[in-house]
Amino acid sequence: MDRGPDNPATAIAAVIALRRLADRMERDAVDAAVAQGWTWRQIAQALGVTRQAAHKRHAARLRDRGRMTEDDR
Amino acid sequence: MNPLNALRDMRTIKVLLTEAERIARDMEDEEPGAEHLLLSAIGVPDGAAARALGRFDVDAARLRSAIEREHADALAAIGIDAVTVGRQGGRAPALPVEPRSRLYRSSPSAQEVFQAAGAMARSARQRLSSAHVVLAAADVELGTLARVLDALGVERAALRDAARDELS
Repeated sequence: MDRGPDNPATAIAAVIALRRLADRMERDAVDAAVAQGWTWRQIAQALGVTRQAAHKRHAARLRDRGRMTEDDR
Repeated sequence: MNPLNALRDMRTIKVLLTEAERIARDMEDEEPGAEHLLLSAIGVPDGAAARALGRFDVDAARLRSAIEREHADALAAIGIDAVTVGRQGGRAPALPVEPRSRLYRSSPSAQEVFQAAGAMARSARQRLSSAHVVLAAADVELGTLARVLDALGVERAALRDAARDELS
């Protein structure tokens, strides 16, 4: 397979890897925010999503680690 | 198909999909893709996928590290060093498998390979084997799995032959 920069498959592979990296960075950042006492409202505002969307995306993982936001308590 | 074989197929499906999801989450991916499904197939107790890929010196550890390397190389190609970006704290814990979901979660790439594997087994009137997953994986032309197999130097026709040998 041609792996040169002009090959769309190369560009798409970078997009996939970037999404993966962005997802990981988002999880790390949200974990850090929760550790610092942020609320879901604050996390959602910072991410530019609704509180429900932020909760849906991150709450299960945080619960699994016994972590809660201020407004979960 | 007799009921006992149908039950065995259901067990194989359960192992394949449950393990693909666990592997994906362990690799910090939210949904299993075709590459995670192939990794899962290597662990299926029938041993067929493991033997077929073993002919190319590919085992689960080598496949998994090739997947990680593929993503790192894709980022490096656009000037991003994944090791130094954002993950200073080292590796995060694996993502939990969401207990709320009784349905298997998977990406379209995994669904395509899984469905193709099932269709191959049905059309050949065979019990579902992990070798069917290898056969279906060999047909994938684009995406992470295809790039990883290329990077590992796995030639598709030879991989199909190895999988078919397991099914004969």
